[in-house]
Amino acid sequence: MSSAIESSHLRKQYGLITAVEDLSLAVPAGSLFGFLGPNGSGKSTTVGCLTGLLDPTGGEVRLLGESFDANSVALKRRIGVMPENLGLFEALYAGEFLAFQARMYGLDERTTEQRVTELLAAMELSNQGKKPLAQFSAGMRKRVAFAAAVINAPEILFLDEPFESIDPAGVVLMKQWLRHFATEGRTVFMTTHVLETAERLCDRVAIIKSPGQLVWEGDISSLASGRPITVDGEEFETLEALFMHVAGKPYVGKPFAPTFNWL
Amino acid sequence: MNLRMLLRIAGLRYRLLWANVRSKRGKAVLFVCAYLLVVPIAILLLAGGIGAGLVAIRTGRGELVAGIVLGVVYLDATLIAVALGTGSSPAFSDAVLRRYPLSRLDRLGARQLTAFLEPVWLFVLALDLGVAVGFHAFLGASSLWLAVPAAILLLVTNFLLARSLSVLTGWIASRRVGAMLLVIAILVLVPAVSALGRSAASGKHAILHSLLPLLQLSPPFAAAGIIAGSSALVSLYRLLGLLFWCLIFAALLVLAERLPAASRRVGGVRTAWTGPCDRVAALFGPSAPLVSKTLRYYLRSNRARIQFATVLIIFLLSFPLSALGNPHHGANPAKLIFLALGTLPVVGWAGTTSIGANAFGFDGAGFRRYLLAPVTPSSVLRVASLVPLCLSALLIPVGLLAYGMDVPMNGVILAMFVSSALWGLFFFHGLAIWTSLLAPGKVDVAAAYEKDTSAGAKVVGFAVLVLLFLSMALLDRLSVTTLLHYWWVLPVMMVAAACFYFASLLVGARVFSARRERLLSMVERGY
Repeated sequence: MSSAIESSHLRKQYGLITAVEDLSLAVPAGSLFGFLGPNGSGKSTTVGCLTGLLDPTGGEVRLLGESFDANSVALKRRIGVMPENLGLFEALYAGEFLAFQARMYGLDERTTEQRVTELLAAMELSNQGKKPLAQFSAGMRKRVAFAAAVINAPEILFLDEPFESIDPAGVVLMKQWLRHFATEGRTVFMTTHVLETAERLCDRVAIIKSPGQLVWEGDISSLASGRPITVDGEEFETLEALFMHVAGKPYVGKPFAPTFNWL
Repeated sequence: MNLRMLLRIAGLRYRLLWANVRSKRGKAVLFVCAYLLVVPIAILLLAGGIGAGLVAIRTGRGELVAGIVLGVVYLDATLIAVALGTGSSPAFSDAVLRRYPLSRLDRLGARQLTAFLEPVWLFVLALDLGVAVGFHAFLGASSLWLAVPAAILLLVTNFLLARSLSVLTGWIASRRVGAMLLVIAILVLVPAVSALGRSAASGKHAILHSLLPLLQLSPPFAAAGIIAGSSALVSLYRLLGLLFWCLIFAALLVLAERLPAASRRVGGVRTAWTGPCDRVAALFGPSAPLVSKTLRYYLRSNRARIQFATVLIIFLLSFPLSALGNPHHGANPAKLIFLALGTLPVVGWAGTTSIGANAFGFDGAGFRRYLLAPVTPSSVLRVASLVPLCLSALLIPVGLLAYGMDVPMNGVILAMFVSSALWGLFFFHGLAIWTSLLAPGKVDVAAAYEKDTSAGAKVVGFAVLVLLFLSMALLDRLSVTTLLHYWWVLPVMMVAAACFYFASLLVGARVFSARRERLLSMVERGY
């Protein structure tokens, strides 16, 4: 299977601080790929480098078989991104923002109107009318950002923490969308801290630890059918156990708040 | 009131300020601002007080001169504070302060304290103290023990009044018909003030004299009386008067802060995403989505709407009318040429300054869409600059018409007027490209009216006001013949400004590319 996303020896530094170090990934086309790691491990920075938001300090990114950087305008039309902080224009209404996004990605007026109407209905935002995005709740904002990410029917969808702040019904809806997306041959690359969701949804995951170092990558589809994964000679029945083994060592076995007598 | 906590919050404000200048470049900027700008300006302001003292000696009317000087400073400071938005930073908004164990009174105090630490009030303090010191040095009539507290109390009343008006303006502007009401208020107030000014300038002091007993009660004249050397008893009486004004304006501020926020009707309204903005934007071809988004930001900003209307009224209607009504100016319409040449450059800028000088600050997290979208940095920057330029340019024909009706127009004068308007348009919008790229400020679109301008926008706004008055003062010293003889200077300036603007767009696109990660951080996180 060909790779939709490839990074080779990707490195990102902020001055003397290394955020991502020598990260090489290959995400097969049509897969639901989970990108996991502890807080501050470099997940969002990696997504930033893979989507053209940030300039990598070193290494190369290839999307859909082509070399990609911040100036790859044509290639950017073929991807969709739900970024960290969502990237909403707060003074616009939901429909206006989605229309803006659609037109930026080259959709004509008729297609824009059709897709905006359908997405607003699907995200249960049709009745929000003249309400600026600044006044939306966190969950509603996330729905708008998700709709904006898919409006151009991208071949690759990048999602940074898609399930945070969304109500259970919204999560179910979004999962259905993502599964449909993958069955259509499109690729989903998402970061998340919700390991149960990643376990049930993703067929492959990569786990990194600070500073952006890949510690494990592999197929986890067997976990959904109850078959454990063997890593370093140990068997893991859940993604959480696997994650704690490869990236969560600092937390394992530590007693809770040993010296916090005041708590 | 929890004074200890308030002082800690004041300390936090300065720590945040310092956090913004941790880089070497930031420290250099701070050094330049603090030592190379503030100190000479403060000296200049003190010298102004000495000058006023000298004028007072010559005319022998110390109290009136001090009253007029302090009154003008008072009015200017109030207008600048309301027009440029010098309120407290969003980091000290009521919503943020609620996180801390502070009572409502404490929060109110903390907001005012952080707003009071804005540089504009340091300038005003220098001006007020300058008058007090100048009068003491040259007239020797007042005791510094009374004059300095009077200057400080005057500053406090000025601050409280400006804050109250700012909060009230923001509240009115957030209402459905608020902007229209404010424009009507400006329409009524500006001609009234102009009429008063005309009366004073024409030497017909009848109105002024009849108002004098009332003016004596006002804070600037009360302070002027003390500074010009009233008797100790009268001075104490006037100090009490100033304290009384402090209480009145403090009460007004408390009431203004308690006004309920505007509510919006939401449900059941079908969104229209193809409106007039989109139809206008369609003229810009592939950049249409960016243009329509930017136009919407301008149309939905209370400050932008009010600024635009204010410029239309003050610069284009009030100035020409007041000049015509003035026997000195009006008797010779050629004098109107000076006024036009002084004001037309500002017309092409002042209407869109708040967003124009901080083009990406209002985008917040949305800024990252520019970097993710299939669009080049040059088109993003071009739209961010061209939209305010085109909006401002709309005011220029109105200005030319307003002045042109009363000026004996010929080809040379028309060329001078057009060149004058266009040099301002290009120069200030070129400058705005650099403030937007190099000194963006994070602005919360839902922020209150008095907190929605960046430091860069304030500096440019202040610079424009200074330039306006300086150029008018300079032009007033020239004769019409000299001016017409050197008419070609203005077209040259226009061409130079246009070159500067287009070069800024070109070079700015590269700077945008190189600084995009820094810009992202500054407009998203504010540092």
